[in-house]
Amino acid sequence: MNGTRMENNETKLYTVIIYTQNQTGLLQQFTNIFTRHNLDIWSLFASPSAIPGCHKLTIETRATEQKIVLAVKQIEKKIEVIRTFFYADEDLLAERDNAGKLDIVDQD
Amino acid sequence: MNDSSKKITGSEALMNALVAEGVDTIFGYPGGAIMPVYDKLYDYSDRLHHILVRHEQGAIHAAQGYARAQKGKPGVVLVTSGPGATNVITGITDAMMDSTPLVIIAGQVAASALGTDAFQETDLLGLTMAITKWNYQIRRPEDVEWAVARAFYIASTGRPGPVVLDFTKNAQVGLTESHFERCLSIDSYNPNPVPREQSIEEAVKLINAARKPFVVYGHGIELSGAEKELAAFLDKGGIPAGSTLLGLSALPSDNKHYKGMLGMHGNVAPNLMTNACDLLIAVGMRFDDRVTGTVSTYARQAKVIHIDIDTAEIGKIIPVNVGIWGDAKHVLQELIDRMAPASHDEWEASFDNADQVEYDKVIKPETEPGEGYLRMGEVVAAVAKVSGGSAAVITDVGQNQMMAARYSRFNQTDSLITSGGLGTMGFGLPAAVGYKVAQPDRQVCLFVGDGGLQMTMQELGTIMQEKLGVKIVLMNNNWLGNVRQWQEMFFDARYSQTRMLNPDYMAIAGAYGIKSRIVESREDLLPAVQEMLSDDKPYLLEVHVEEEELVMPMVPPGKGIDEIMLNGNEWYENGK
Ligand SMILES: Cc1ncc(C[n+]2csc(CCOP(=O)(O)OP(=O)(O)O)c2C)c(N)n1
Repeated sequence: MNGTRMENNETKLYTVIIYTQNQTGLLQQFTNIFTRHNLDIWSLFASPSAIPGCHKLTIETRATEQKIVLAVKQIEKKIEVIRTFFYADEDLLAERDNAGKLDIVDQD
Repeated sequence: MNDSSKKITGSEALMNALVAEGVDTIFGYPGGAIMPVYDKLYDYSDRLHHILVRHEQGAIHAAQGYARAQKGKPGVVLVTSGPGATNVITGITDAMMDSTPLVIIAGQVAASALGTDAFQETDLLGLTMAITKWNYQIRRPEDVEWAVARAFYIASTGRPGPVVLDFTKNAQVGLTESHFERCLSIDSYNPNPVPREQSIEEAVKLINAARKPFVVYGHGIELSGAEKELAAFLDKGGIPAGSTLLGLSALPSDNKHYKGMLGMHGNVAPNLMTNACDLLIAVGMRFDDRVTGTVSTYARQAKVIHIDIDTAEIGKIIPVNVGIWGDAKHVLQELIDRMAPASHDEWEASFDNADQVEYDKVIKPETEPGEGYLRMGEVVAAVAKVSGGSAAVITDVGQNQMMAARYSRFNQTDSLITSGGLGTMGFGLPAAVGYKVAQPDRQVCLFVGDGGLQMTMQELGTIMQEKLGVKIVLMNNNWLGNVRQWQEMFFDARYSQTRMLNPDYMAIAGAYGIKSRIVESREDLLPAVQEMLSDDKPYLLEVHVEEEELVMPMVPPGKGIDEIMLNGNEWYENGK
């Protein structure tokens, strides 16, 4: 039916990776979007990407899934944004764990 | 196109680019930081008609009215830096909320002075980041044509919106070669998403299986030019439909599937149908809270298909079973081609009784009260009657807006222009100016309250100067009526700062050379409306209406969309 309308309040640490064409002021636009959704930026890293003319921004934030989806969709609407990806560290690690490719428990 | 060996100023490059983009009208107001552009405009006055407003807010709302009268042709605004630029902020926000294509060109101090708090410097890029679809500072003359081409492309494609160009003075006066080229695509921007085949298939399955389907549509129908497709979709599927405020004229009011306006002051039947249907098909609308009432009880029983050109709207408010990212016109045609013809006569008629109750308890007393003071509804109905539903209706904000929306009749698209998302008082008069400029042969009728008129009344000067036959229907209740209504209903009738002492509007109209008339009695209403609509000259009709009127029906704040008040103390209940 309608899925759940109740916000799932569980927050996770998300990593958002944004590929953009370089444009002054984009960073401020992204931080505006996070502020509007009341999301604190935990870390932010800007760098050139492997593709010429394409910049990469990595932002970490704690959010509910619903909020991060809304924020990422708003980011993707910005004209100069090429692609945006996001994942929760714990989901990614859990996936890899299930696939048996990485033993994250006892390394010693 | 210019000979590329000849250098021209950035200001001339702007003029050339505007002409190349098909612009013939600009709404604006000059000032220091945009003077080189105005100087060049002097040479282009045969190609670019500049309308000198009386306040920059007037320019931007006029450009909005202009754009919305022209199906996607951006309205162009030209203002100076600093206060000129900040005066358009409300209009930019309004255009962003209501997806209106605008290109706003503002002067800026020279690039070398940026960041120094130079005279009339303001950080316009910073200020407008969150309220524009795109903004850009032109710091070099050689960037002018590129930026203008990109601005028009972005403003008018995909989900339309406002674009700001912050034009530094050195770029206005510096020299550049000219090679204007229209922008036809941007790598990182996809304004024409191709709907996913799988989503269309899933939607068709849901539509074919539905026993009680219901369409809710919005402004996106008009923006995409999907009026015919919507009507054909409803016909083929035998599906009833309700409209948001901004979608209102997308279907003729007498379309047999049209059940009325949705939302807080919408019609009873379409609101009830929302919470009774088994399939809700939303097209080109964004589930504004004025449309949904309490989200937690909205259409819970139904499967939901949401079609929108802006993927960020899909699932934003209402979870969907099928989201289709695409242009309404295209998607509807795909659905029409694949769905089975059907009829749902019993379902379509199942809320006729609600229509009857609304007619008896709300509509008739509002439009044909027969006695007592004049009511806003009967004023709007009188205009609809005399114009035969063919006038373009522009509204301000408040009770006048809701009454105009409820009781106007439309037989042409793009005929209701109102500030929906932002609800900007003062929008109406300048928007009517812009609409009339765009559609000089159309009868353009503004409904406005005494509060809203006084917010942008200075634009009577523009009407005077441009000789625009805008018909202004001032519904004067001596209150900030909409707020008064909420105070009466939800704040124990404590009327804090809503009573308004009004000026002599006849004298004001007279001062601008605008014909005017006051109507206080019922017998006088129809003759006055007939007189107003008998020619193409500006006219101010001031109607003294019932002061303490309530716009009804009403879904009070915090209530579900099917919890509907019929008057101050009566709720709609099971067909009564
Ligand atoms: C710029 C702005 N300021 C305040 C409001 C809040 N507001 C909404 S309706 C309204 C009253 C409008 O009064 P009036 O223009 O006389 O119209 P009426 O409701 O009486 O028809 C107010 C103050 C607003 N929507 N816009």
